Amino acid sequence: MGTSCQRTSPATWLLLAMGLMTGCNWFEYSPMAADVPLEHYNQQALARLAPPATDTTRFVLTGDTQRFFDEAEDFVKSVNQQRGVQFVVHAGDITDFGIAWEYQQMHHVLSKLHVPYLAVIGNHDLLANGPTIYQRLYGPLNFSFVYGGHKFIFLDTNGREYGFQRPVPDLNWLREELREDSAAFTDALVVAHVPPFNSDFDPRFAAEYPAVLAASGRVRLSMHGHQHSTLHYGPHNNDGVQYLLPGSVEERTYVVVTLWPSGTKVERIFF
Amino acid sequence: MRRCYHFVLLLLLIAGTTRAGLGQPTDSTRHRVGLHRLVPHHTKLQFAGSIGWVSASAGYGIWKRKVEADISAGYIPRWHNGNTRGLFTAAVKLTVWPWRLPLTARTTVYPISVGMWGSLTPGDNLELFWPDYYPSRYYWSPTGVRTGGFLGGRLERALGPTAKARSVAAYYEAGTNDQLATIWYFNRRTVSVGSILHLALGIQLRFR
Repeated sequence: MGTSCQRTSPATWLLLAMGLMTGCNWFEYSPMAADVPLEHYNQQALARLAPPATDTTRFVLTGDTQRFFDEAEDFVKSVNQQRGVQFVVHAGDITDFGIAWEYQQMHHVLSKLHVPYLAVIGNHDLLANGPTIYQRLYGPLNFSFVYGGHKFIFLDTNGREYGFQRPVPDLNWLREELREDSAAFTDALVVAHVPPFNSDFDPRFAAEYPAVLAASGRVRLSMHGHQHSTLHYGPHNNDGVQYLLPGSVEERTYVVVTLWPSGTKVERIFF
Repeated sequence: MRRCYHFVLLLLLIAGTTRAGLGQPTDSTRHRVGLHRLVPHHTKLQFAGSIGWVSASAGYGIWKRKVEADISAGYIPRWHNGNTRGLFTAAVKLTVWPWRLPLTARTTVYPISVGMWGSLTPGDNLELFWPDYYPSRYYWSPTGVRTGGFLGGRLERALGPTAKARSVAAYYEAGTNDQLATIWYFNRRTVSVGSILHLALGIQLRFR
């Protein structure tokens, strides 16, 4: 009686204890390890989207939450007071260092939003093990969905993070997504972190990107973060594309975008 | 380059745990002379603490063991790295033990430790130097380089004269790193100190 317990060696107890503590977030094994579960938050958000009740779509556009946790908390409170918003679009740079702690803590803040949010990858999110972490937590780097007849295309445009050596943005994929028969949609909106007129966009594709959008003739908006600039809403260098940069959470501002069949409205909110 | 790094880690592990190559020290090596000066004074095996899922270190006690300097090799298995591949971390660690309280003839409590570490973790997309496709000072410190600090404590038990080691101890640390400390500093309203602290647990074996 009780001998089996006495026979258990200290090494066994140690291994058992380590095994139990492994699931506990009191312990960190490496700040840069991709020690995160498989989640696919973007897919989960799509599953939670309420179906459109009218022909009007309204969403919030923000970006660059990075290390601004205090501001992000206030952003969530402000958005939760907006009426008729169906979802939130995050234009990238969820994190500052691309580490698991930031990804999980920022999601913890943003998951307090009353509506689902969808996020594209930013250059900071690609640092360290960020690519693996983003793909485990949020899903594919390029993805799209159709809501209320509008196709939302999320595209990785962080060319500099790949040393301008990879085909980023993937314009062939973008062309396919914009093809008329690719899915039922009346117009499209692109969400990408780095705008084509920024030096972190791969210069090989900087002229081709707006050309692809303009050629499709159906892109309402090309929405970006990265520049932390105050609101930019309009064309750029007459490249045939309508751009929208919402400013950043750090600047305590975001925009509410309303789409209806014959028009677009962009409203700037300060919080 | 990568292979070479693994080799150095392996050497460190061997040096820390078996002290191979320098012979089995006897009592005469207490007053260490010649090459035996290089023999580590202690070894530690640690769980977590941001320098590996498990890490082994070899180190020296200086200034009447009030300060310990360790060099460690840590491993993060692939299942704690998004099922990609395991990571290796090399770290140097400095720990200060300002007080010792004898409990019994053989047991001593070191109530507080203060320490800091610096680590290198090379890997895919983990840089020890920023690649030259970034403009200078584009980001902060390279992604594979981290520093951190901690507070802790230790319980030490002296072993009998026939034992191979002089003493065995269990210690803990609670600490954070440069990135998390920065995030906390700029977001003290919503980020709690507790959320940026992580624990480490370890055992230490002091050689004769």
